[in-house]
Amino acid sequence: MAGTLAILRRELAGYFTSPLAYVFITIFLMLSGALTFYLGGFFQRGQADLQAFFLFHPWLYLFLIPAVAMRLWAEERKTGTIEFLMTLPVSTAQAVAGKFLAAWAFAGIALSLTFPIWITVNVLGSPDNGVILATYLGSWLMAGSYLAIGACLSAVTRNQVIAFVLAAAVCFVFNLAGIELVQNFLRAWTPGFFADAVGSFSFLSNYQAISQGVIDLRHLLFFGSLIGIALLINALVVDLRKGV
Amino acid sequence: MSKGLTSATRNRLALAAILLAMVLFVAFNILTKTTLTQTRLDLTEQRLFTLSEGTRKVLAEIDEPLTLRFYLSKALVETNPYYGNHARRVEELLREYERLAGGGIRLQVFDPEPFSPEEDQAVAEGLQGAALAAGGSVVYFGLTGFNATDDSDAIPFFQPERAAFLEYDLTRLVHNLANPDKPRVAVLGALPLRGNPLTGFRPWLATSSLEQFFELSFLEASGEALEIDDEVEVLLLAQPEGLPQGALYAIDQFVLRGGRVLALIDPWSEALAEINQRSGGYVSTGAAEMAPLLAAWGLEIDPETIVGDRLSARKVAARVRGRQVVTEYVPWLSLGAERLAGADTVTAELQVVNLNAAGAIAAREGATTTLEPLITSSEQSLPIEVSEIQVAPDPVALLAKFLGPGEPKVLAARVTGAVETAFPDGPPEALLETAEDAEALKQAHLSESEGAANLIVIADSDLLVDSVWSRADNLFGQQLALPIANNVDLVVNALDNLSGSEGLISLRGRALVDRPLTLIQDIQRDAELEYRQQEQAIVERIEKAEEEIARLQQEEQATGILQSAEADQALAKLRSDLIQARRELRDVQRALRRDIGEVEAWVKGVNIWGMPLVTVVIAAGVLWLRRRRAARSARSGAARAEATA
Repeated sequence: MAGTLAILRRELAGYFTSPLAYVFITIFLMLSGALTFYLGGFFQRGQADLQAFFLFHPWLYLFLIPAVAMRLWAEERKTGTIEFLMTLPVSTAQAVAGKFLAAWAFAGIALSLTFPIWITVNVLGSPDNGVILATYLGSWLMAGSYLAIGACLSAVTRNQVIAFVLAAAVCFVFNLAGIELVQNFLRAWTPGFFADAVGSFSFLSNYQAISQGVIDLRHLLFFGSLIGIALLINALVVDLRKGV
Repeated sequence: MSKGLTSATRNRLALAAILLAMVLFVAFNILTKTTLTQTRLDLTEQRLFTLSEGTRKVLAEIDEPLTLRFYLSKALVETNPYYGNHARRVEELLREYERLAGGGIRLQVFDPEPFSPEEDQAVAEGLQGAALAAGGSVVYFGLTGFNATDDSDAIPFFQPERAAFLEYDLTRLVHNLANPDKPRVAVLGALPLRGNPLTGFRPWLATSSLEQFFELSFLEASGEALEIDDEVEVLLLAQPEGLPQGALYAIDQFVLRGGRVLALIDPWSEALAEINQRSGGYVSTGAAEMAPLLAAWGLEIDPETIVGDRLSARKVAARVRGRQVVTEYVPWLSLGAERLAGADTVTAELQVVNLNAAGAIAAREGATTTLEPLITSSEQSLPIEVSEIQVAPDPVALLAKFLGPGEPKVLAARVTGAVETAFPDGPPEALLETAEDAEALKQAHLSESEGAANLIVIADSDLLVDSVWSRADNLFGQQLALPIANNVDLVVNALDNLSGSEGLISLRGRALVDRPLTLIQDIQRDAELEYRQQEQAIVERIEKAEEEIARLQQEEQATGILQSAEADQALAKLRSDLIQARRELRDVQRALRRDIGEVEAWVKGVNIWGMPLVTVVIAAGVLWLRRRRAARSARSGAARAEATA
């Protein structure tokens, strides 16, 4: 625990000493704002809710989150600092958890900096703030899942670009798993229960369910178990490739 | 990893572990999806996903077991995750109902495959099939219910768009099956609630909603007489027009006998005006005809005026002087929760009620009854003459009237207390002349109420028109009405309350889809008022100038005398005035759009650029501080090195 916290602190502080983090936050905030008002048609809808804002998160994360995750392990391996990390008195599991939590906290900070839109919609009308809170939580959980997958794949390679492309591709598949096109295709070729299972592993459908304002234990468990398994695999890969 | 393993074994073990972890993940999630069903935290403001007390009460009070048959085509769930999610929720909710009813509900689930006996059964029980675009097969997603005495009810198709009303729909079905004896409501009036096959008008949607809760009978006066039997629990007066004296007398006596009345009485019925359009010259007479009875109940509704309310006005698109404008139409009101009485069960749970050209209800001096307002307009309300909206009303001119503050008007009220007859001389002559037993009629006459009268009066009859309270949606080729206002809930609540059965009142009024951007609306409204008034003044100037020019030209033509130089000058001045006024009008119209645009641009600017700018400034600050600190430490390091040297 202490080891995890130490890594978490070191990593999180590291984010804010490089301009990269600020660039990331700026791009995220500008894009999410612009999408809300231009593609999302916030004023055209005329409704006091944040649907137009949250709608684009799965797609924004698709290329922003792998960009955060790609350097988590690939960079350490490339620069050789992984050797140093492994000499510290922390286990692989603690290092993996610490790095992930730092990145997740960073994503949380970026997400929470969108608060002006929440204030805006409260000034303009009277939205259902419970629904907004739930959707923020769902969005953050989804970001965590993207991150865990990205971190895991970042450990596979020492090339950050490859790590980015792999993570974006896998997350894209997880996003699409629930849509009609994929489901129809699966049902034509595989037994029904398999298509059902794939459908229920869609980021989109789990996120949409939470964004109705009701947090179901099953959706929490889905995101939680996904993060847990991805990190477990992450630790195994790091261990496996020690010294490779 | 232990030291004893070779590198190859270690790799193989790790790969196996990774595979195992993936399998575990899939298995775990399939297990949780199927076993954990009701563990959830409902964060919505109105607890839309948590069963209400009203539902629990209805479920606990089922005397004889009900059978519910849930039909769900697997094909629908499989091909469409949107419906899949909704279907899962409906099924879980039904299982929860079954559990809470403790034996009161038997739930059966069917998958009606094409050409199966289940499909025939589903269709026979009143379900609607929908054709899937993808496969072309017909799918079903509905519910039927039966009680021990073979009454039945059905939800033909669960529309995900009505997800917020799901609990209400299910509980209503269960409630109706558990309580098959509906209160009897008699309807009297000119509103075409049942439609008219001759004119091609369809029945109003509100009628079928009312029939779900009440046994409706439609009364008509035969000659002079009108029979309201004692079985009738509530009399619904739906814009009574053209009634003979005998019918008014029957209403009067019904109230005195303790009968309860919900009266929709309108100084101007838009619905009837529209229907009678072709005959021309329609005049709403409801408020005037009912005046003597209203007086006896201690009320008055001015038949000549309706209420215009600037703060509650709805937006309309209209053609004004050849131009298409979107503006506030002050006779059409959308009254939010703050305008509805929060303490009365009839209105307490409602969110918004829409009224069109409603009248104002006032208590008469010295009335023996108590008037409790249920719906009140805003303080910016003014009376508007019915004649002003009768033919091609001008929304802009009406809005321009609001120069100063007005005063709130009561649009709907509950009236209680002792009342006296409106016919102090006994039954009307016309009735006595045609009656078989005039003496008996005279004998039965009541001159004052036996107990306290209990009435609800709404000074609008258009509130039940489909387009006033619902938005039509087309789904799979089926018409679906989504409520945008609680108008029908208001009427059902009032009838429920008057008939003494209030089981479902707490469920109504939850979950309207509409949450408007009120601030934008307010700004638009204020800007509009300002500009519309200016516009109105300019338009009047233009019209006057045009008239004056036309007059001068006509004079010239008629007399054949050429005008003097002064007259010519006057004409030229008028023309330039006209051009100037037209320019001003354009400016004003542009300014109206600009004001609204400014607010939107400001909101966009703050949200798109605000936080990114703050982030950039912070980043610059942090990086500058770090650089300075680094430089300082480098300097002090160098100094120290120098000193030691």
